[in-house]
Amino acid sequence: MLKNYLKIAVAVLLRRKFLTFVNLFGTVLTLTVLVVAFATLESVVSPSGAQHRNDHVLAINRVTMSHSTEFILRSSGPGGAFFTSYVKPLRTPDLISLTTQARTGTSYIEGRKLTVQIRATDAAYWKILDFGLVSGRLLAPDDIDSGKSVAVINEATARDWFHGQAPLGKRIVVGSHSYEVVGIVRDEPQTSALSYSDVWVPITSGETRAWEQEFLGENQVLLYVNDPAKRDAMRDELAARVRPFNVNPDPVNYNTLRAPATTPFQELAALALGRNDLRRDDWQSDPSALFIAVMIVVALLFMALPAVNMVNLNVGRIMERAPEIGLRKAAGAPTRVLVGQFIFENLVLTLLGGALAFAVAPVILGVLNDVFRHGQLRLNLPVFVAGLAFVGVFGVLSGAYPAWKMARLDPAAALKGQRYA
Amino acid sequence: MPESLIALTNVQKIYRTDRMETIALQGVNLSVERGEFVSIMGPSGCGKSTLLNLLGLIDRATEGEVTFAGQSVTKLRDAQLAPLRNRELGFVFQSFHLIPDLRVTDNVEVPLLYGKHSASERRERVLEALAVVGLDARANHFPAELSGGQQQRVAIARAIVGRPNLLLADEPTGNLDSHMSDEIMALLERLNRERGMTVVMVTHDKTKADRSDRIVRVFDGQLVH
Amino acid sequence: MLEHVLRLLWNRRNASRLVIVEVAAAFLVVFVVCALALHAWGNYRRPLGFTYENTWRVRVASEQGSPQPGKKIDGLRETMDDILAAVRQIPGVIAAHSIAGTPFSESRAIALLGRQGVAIVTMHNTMTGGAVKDLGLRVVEGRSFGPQDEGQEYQAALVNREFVKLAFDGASPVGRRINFASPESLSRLPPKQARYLMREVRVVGVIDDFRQNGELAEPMPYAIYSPVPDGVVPTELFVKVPAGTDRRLEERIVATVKSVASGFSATVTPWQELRATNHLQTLLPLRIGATLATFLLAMVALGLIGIVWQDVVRRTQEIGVRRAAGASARAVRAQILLEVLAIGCAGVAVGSLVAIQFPLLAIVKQIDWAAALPALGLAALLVLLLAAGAALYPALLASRREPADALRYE
Repeated sequence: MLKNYLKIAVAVLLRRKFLTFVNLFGTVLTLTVLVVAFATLESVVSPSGAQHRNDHVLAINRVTMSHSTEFILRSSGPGGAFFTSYVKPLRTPDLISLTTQARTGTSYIEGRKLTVQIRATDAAYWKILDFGLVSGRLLAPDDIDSGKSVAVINEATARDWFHGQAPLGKRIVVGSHSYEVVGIVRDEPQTSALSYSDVWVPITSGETRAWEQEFLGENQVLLYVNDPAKRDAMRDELAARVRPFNVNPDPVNYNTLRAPATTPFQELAALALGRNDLRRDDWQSDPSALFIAVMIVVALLFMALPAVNMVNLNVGRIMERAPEIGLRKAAGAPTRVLVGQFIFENLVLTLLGGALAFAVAPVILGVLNDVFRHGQLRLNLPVFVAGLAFVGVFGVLSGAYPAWKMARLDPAAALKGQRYA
Repeated sequence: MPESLIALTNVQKIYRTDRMETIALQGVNLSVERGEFVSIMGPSGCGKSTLLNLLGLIDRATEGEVTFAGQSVTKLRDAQLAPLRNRELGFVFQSFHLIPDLRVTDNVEVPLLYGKHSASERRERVLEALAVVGLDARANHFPAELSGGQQQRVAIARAIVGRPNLLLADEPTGNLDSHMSDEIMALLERLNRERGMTVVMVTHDKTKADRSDRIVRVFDGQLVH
Repeated sequence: MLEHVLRLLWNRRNASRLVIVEVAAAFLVVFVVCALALHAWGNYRRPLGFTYENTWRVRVASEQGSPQPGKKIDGLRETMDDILAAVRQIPGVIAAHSIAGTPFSESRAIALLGRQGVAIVTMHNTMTGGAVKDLGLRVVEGRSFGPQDEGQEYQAALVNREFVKLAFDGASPVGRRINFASPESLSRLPPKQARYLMREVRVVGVIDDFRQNGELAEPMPYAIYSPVPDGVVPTELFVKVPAGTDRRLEERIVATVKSVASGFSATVTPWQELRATNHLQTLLPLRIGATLATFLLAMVALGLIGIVWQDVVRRTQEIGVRRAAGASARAVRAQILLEVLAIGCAGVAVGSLVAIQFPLLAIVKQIDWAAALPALGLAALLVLLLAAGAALYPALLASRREPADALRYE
């Protein structure tokens, strides 16, 4: 029975090859874009690399000092003094860490110029994030205490620098500072904002320890709880401690402090919605809900165009076959069967489009993985499920209306050749 | 001397598809005189509709010569053929081929759009044509709202609105009851006798064919006598 | 003929509803793409306002750390003066000036400036008249900083055209004061800072623009202050070097800074490199958007082609009837084209009604919807051209058939 339906469906679709192609192109394109977008989102929200314990972690990326009545504002990352005054006293987190942001460093080796991302971390960083060790060891608390010039590098850097020779024990020069390589870890994608880097060194290995006294700096703070349920409590405790602004490096100019602890999703939402520090009304609200709403609307709109196109083509097809359909109805074929046949045809097309999209999407993801450094986008289970959901919604959107029209088709009028609205 | 309005000389028509070739007409020599009323008869599939199409210049012969009013039209390009069709010919199709989204008046008006007529002149002629076929009461209806016989008459009105010299009709009474058939035949005869319109009609009804001046019989793509 | 076609279209309006909706949707997509593209291109086209070639940033860092709120680095001003003097002496350095914010970098300083009652968020920078000249800034009204501004009660400033437009409605700001301090802040602050806040910032000239954030940045009101003794000490310099200078000069500069100022170090980066990094960040979303837009447009195009094709093919019999009645192939093609364009216009009209809502309701505040009108026009043109183009080929095919052939078509 199914095979019969399938044969008819394929025959119908092949009869109008160009139109079927148009339909298919639109479907595949839309579904591919949606799958790729979802995969990118998913990799940011639940990364699979070192940041995989995402739901245990919150990050402080931005500290903003301002005045409640004056137009004056200073915004940057958290500095050592901020860390000491506001983060160390927190009781909810089980681990806290201060690390510099990944910075571009240039080195010259044998006349070649190489750029790497370099990050200076403390000891807790390596406990909070779970790096995949390839060889050697990670940075130890000992290295941090003594400020040793040692470095952990990723596989890409090991390749670029040492060309197959064993890097462990050799030295790597970044900027004007030389480090001994003690470990190699797996690459971390640019989309993982907390773990991303090529080279990791102790935060204490710099030329000066001035950063410890600075309130602001180009750093990130990580907060970790063993029990993910306590994450909100951790966020609230930080907010409560920050609000009174008890430790204020410049009380003359500033009287308000903001330092929210955020998830990568919230950061992405804020970025996508164009939030910035300059607008006060952007500060308080959590952008997540709005961002999700916007994404759903955009996805629906994005699907709308090819869906309308498919609807048009389907209605056209039905109108073309109106006499045939009218004849069948007049001959006693139940509407149910006719509509069922049509929906089956539509489903075949949509599923085919979905299958092609699942074939094309990994290719696009591969390209994107080169665009984002060390990208690790891939088609995993959540993405696949989301893709199926898109296919389903799309199939319904594009098939419902024409199916309804077909059901309503009046056999007598169709046979008489009346044009259909 | 009766002059030939349209003449086919040694005409052949072959239909070619990807898979096969069909010889629809072969070795046809036929001349229709001005003012004649000709019937074409034959079993179904014998090629009589094809013959009508060739006479109506709406199809091209694969081989042979077609002459209209002494002028060879076989090699004419579309740009020259179209005005010829517009001025001289009127075609009534077996399945009417009325445009469903146009009202009766607009349907009848179609041939006039491609000639040089003013809007008022077109309106006048349409009403006149509808009056001739007795449908002026239904001028504003859509084809779907009319019966088969009424649609037939609209098709005839459309064919004659341009006052053509040659009227071709494919089974013009095929869908009608006997009363209506007689009326249509009477109309055709009137157009032929009173207006001097040359009429070529395909029919399978001998009684209707007998009312014409001449019967041309077709069998298996060839004229038989 | 036109009447006839219009009547035909009117009678078919119910069946055409969906096609019009699709054309409207396609138009909206094309419109958004055009609006964004025109906007980005408009931004890119506007001149940068300064030269960045052969210019290097010299960023000075102190052992005592980076500039912090509430922290003073001892002897910073004197040290920076020494560094500047020493760098100027280096052979190969054409010019050296201090600058508060280097272009193409993350740093930006903003203030509320304007005239009484009209205060706007203005980005600002600090540099000398010499720096203004060496960066190639064009003064279009008034004058640049000069010796007559030194030792005065006021702090001279240059503003850009955008600032003049927003704060002064286009009237000349030359000679006017643009900063205002509220009595509350004056009473709150210690005397030295209050005095600084009370100083008059006076406009002496108007520049074209100084697009600190790069070619893709949105138009932004900008002000350039001339340096005053009480102001912030800039820790960045820029040097102008001859074309083709290699990195050895960089090493010399770094060495010079180290030798002149103990406890200080320098990093040298060409502005070109900063610009490249800036482009990487700003261009990436644009490139992704462009790729997406291309595919969307392809989809729109194919979709329209599909329905137009289907529509024309469906009317093959009607075409046959008209041809049999004496319509030339060209007349038939013209009619089909006319109908498709009419449907196209209807769709564009519906789409425009929706598109107009965007600027009217100020949805998506980031985009300047003043570019909307040309985008509307461009999108309408593209969609109509596409529809017409999509109709041409099937119309050609259908009209070329012999009438009898077309009439037989199913």
